[in-house]
Amino acid sequence: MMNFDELTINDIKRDLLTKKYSVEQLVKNIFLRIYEIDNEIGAYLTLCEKSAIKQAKEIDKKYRNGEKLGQLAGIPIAIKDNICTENLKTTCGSKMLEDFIPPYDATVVKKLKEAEAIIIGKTNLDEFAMGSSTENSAYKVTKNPRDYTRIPGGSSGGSAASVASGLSFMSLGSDTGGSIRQPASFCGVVGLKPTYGLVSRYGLVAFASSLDQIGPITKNVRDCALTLDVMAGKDILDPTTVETNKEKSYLDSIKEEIKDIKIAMPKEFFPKKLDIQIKNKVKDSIKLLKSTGATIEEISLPITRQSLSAYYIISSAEASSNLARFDGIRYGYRSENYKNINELMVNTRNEAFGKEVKRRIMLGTYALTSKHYNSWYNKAQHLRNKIKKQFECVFQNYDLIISPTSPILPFSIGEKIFDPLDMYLSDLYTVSANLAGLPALSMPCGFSNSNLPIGIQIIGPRFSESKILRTAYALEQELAIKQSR
Amino acid sequence: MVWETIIGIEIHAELKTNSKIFCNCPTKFGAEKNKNTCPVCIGLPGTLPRLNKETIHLAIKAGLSFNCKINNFSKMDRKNYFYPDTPKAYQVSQNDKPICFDGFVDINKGADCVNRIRINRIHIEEDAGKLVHLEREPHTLIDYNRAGIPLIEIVSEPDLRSPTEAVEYVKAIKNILMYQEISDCRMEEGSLRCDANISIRKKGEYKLNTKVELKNINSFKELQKALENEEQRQKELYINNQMDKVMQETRRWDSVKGKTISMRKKEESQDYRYFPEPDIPIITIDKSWINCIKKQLSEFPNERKIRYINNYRLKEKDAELLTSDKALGNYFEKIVASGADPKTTVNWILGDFLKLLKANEISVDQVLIKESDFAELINLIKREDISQKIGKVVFKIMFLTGKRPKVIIEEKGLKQIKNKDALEKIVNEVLTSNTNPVNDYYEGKTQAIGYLMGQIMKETNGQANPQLSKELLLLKLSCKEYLPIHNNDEQ
Amino acid sequence: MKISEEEVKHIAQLAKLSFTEKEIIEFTKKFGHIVQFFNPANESETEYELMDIEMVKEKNEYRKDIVLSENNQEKLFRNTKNMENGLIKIPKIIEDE
Repeated sequence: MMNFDELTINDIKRDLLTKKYSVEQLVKNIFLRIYEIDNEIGAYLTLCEKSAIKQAKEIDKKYRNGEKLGQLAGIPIAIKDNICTENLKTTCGSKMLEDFIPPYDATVVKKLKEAEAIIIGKTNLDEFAMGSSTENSAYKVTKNPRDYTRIPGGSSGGSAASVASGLSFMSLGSDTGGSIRQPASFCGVVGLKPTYGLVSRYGLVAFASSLDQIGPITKNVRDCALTLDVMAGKDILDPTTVETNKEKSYLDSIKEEIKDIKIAMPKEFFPKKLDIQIKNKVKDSIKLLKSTGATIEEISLPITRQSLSAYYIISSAEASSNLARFDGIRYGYRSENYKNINELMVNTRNEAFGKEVKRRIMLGTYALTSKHYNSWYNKAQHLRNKIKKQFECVFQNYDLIISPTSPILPFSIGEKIFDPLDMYLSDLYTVSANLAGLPALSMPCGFSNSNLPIGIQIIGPRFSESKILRTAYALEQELAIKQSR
Repeated sequence: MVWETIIGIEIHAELKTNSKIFCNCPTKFGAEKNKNTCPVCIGLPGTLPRLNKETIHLAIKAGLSFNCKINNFSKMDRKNYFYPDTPKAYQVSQNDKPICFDGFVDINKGADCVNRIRINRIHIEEDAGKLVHLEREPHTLIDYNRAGIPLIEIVSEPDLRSPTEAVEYVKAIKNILMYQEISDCRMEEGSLRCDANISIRKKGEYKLNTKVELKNINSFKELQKALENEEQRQKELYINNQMDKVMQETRRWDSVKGKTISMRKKEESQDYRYFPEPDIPIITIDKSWINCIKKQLSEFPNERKIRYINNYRLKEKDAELLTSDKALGNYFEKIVASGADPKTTVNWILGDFLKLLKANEISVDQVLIKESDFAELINLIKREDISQKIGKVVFKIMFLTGKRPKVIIEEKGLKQIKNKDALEKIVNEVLTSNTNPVNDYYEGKTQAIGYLMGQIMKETNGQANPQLSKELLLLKLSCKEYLPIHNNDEQ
Repeated sequence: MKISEEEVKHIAQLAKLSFTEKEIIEFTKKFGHIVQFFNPANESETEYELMDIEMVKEKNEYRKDIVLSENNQEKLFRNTKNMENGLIKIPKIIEDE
């Protein structure tokens, strides 16, 4: 009845209007499919079937009565499990929050509920979003729907896998150094990290506050624009959000032409040793964009290595502080093995945090000690400013920057888990957008010989989401035409 | 050997805001345990701080009140340390960009002499929750009502030279904070707290010696005692050549034991790992904001003192006392405004009023006597409707009940007897029943008059008009009506 | 830059984590590599400004000083495992050692 692999939000909206199926049927089928294949994939940590079906029935009734409906009415969506959902367990993929039930909704969740999207469940992630493979989850390993022997990327691996395998039609991810774009790239779906300050972080369990941003993962660019319209905007609960005065919705702006667009291609993102399949597919896409009238020029942006250092120092420093509140006193895991208050705190943290989380807390604590503050944290902030300025320079002459999303193809489960440094390198192309607070999107641009998805990344100046989406949409159209030929 | 004591003070004052520094929870003291809390102030994961504008406003006001410079750009920082009263395991405070810096406060040292104490900085931060330690129980309890209440920390330079001076300094700061309505400064509720850094050196030496930080001081009396105690402890160590035992450490003042107790040494002291709070954008303070607050500053204690001396012709010492508590001065002014003579009012306030205040352990704003009633009492005495003595009695009842003076006089029948016939009757009675003193009088012992007047007052519960009574008494005696002619009977 | 086991222990203590002696040896080695890799001293000198330009540009919107307290304390503290009469119970804290 329904081709879940292909179905987009736009398709569902059309089908619901033409009464091809009801929301209830859709939701029930989604759950049937989840029971069928998610044992294998492992995208979800928590499901909320009862409330989803109840809500589906209510929306069906509204459809029948011709009532006014939200922008995402009846669309089954998934939420990364580090985003708070009222009365629904939010674990952050950690033993620390194995039983944590937030008393409030994150602002984005509230907005999606107001748009009448239906929450299917909470998706798997690397513990506290720290990782690039979703293998650091305390609960399960999520598999890449395209190849079950491989990782789906991370940290929003569950979210990307759920969309790629048709187990949801939009999922929320969070992106601190590439955690939306890299798994989107690995699973062959579209993922957007919005400009820092465009989407409220209220309710996102903080990993690195100055870098974190929530964004959508969808099947195509159109769905991405539609959901961004629902999520974006100033939130009084998040003082780092910014008021944007845009003339039209993201959805409306995607269809405009891209003839006048000037795109920069930093040669540092295409080094000699870059996987040849990735290089070729991304360059093919660039050619397609050229054919639509966009201008593409090679530039130099020598920041990749510095970005990685700055990123890991700043993100770990902030994480060491953000994760200090997990001490067993107010919520979450509480060790039973203690004689005094210090032991309660230390043992709680020791027993409930995973290896990677501890590693980052250690690195971050180290970088903030009075002894190392200047040469580490401060230095990293200076690097960050320098990176920002370099991007500003590029954007004086160019509208967008284009690059591969990841320097590598989805790797095998277990391949890098014992080599954290190798794992960190997979974030090479994504972290700089976070450091500079820039919007960046990853979209599929083809497959490797072994049929693994390859992603292309488009980075723009702050609040240039419309332009990014418009360019991505144009590329998506061209790729579809090329494929059908 | 002459020693010199060097003291620096850190004052934490809770700001007078309605809501907490980062959330909309009330700041009201004494609520049900953990009632004034929300996801933000108990640090639930995912929550974000929203800085209360009034906090910055009051901090700038404090800065201007203490002659500080105001930073145009200020920022919040995280101070990281694990302690159960700190829900996020970091305190949002200010490290290197405080709102105010480089100020001073002048302490009056008698006529035209002031002692200027420099203020290093004033910054804003959040208060922590409260730990309740129970005797004999194996656990501690946490109440987060106080977590997130906005504080200013006022850091002095080490300019204070004795425990007494330190107390005067804190009193001066407290007074100004209250005058400008920046803080309630209720030390007993912990809304004003101070820590002191103290070291001693030989007089004439320039170098500062190792300092000790004293914590947990919650009254002026305790501050004085704690500093004196620590001063003595250090002095003895230096004298006995044990200077190595004066260590950079934090010592807690134990008021029950009357001594300081070591909490932690410097080497085990925390590395707070300060870094800029990423969740709060930079605070920008422009000139217009500062000017606007400047205009809102109200009268300072010193200004008021001069006004009192000039307008009410008060003695400097009286004016000083009256202005040492804003509420007291306000009270005084309202009484005078209700028609009482300023000087008489000052005498009442600094005398009976303060005595009763102290005895009942209440503050001026808890007083039951309305200012207009106070003025009425003063005028009743002035008009001799009651005597000064009765006045004091009435005042005490007013203080305890809040009743109007006339009502009390009526109820207790305390009105002065001025009626000549009534008084004459009483004088006659007294003369008849006190034959011996009357005899004494006629024998030339004029001091017997005093005794007889006392008897008249006794008979009338002090209500007899003294002047009229005396006149009548003398008149009766001069008539020799009461000459002891019956003495023969006894012979 | 080499990291000593002592330093790792000190950092762990600040972070309220602890490692067994065996873990310390292994962690110190791995941590040393990471620290070596990310050491920003490896990066070229840069000029810098004290304050983040972006942050200064953005206006801080403050919250009005208004009280709103409609909290359901039962829900707020439902994740707390050790409440007693509205207070959170923890092992006794002795202030002076």
